[in-house]
Amino acid sequence: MLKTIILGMFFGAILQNSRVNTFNKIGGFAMMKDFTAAKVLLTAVGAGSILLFIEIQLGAASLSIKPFDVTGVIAGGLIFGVGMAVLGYCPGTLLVSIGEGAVDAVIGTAGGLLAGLVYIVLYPQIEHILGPNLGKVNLYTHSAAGTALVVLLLGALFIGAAFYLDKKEKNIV
Amino acid sequence: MEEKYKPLPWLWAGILLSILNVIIANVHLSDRLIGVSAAYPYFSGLLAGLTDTAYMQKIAKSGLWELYLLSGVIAGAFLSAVIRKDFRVRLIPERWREVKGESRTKRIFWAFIGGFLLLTGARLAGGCTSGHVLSGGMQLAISSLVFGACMFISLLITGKFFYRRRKNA
Repeated sequence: MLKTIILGMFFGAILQNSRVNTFNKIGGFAMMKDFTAAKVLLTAVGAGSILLFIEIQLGAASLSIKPFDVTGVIAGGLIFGVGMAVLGYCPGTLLVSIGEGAVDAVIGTAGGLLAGLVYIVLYPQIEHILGPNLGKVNLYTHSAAGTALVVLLLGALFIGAAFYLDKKEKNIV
Repeated sequence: MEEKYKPLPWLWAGILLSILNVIIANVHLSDRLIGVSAAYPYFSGLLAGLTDTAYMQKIAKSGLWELYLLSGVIAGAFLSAVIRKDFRVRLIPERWREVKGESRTKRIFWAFIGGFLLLTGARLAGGCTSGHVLSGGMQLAISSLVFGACMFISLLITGKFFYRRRKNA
């Protein structure tokens, strides 16, 4: 428990230091005025995909892929995007912003907690419409060398996309 | 945006987040990846005494772990904000004010609606920006890459209409 709380403190401190938790960055991205949120995510996913693959190869970590429930993931992603645009935070950055005094993040969290309660109550009715479940699949191949190539290419693509957005951003502002 | 210290550059933030997630994933540490949004229904379910429902059973393990992680997130963000002199109690963000004006009621209303939609979407999809986009993206998981694409498209389309400036305002 204490270990998890300390890890969470690092997570919160990195986000707070980058300011990517703020409405100005996330709402600003929805307004297409600030690409920080996209750049941070693309970099983290790009670098992380390479680091995690190495760690797995060393036997020091394992995959924990979320199942691809087609309806749930697509409908959920679309609804999530609407909420994120209007609120200007996502579930993690809400809590970071509460930590730095944002009252609208407290209200957003209250909305999120109510949604969580409603979801628990409605889950027996919702459960069967989330599918079809295409399983816990990812882009890894059967050979380590093939996967290494995919990981390196996509990792570079994600990080490259972040630099591309950084260049584009300078033309907007 | 009168910040006392320069923010951590995006490149460093991204790299540090990936390193932190890989550390958390280590079998000797947490043996799982960062996730956040199960903590919301889990916390609500605890408060409402719904622990024996199907969904609470399903998220019992991840919900509790994420709740601990989020307690740390608030504490870490608070300490960091105090050190950086960013801590300030405020309701209306600058960029919201520029487009939507000074109305407190309006910001409170949309923040609540937004938060409700945000967690409804996250629970339907089984993850959010952390669990799906960050952690799932790092694993090149199909579900997470699809979630990320849907989220970005929906965010930008909603933003385009919701934050449209009135010409005569």
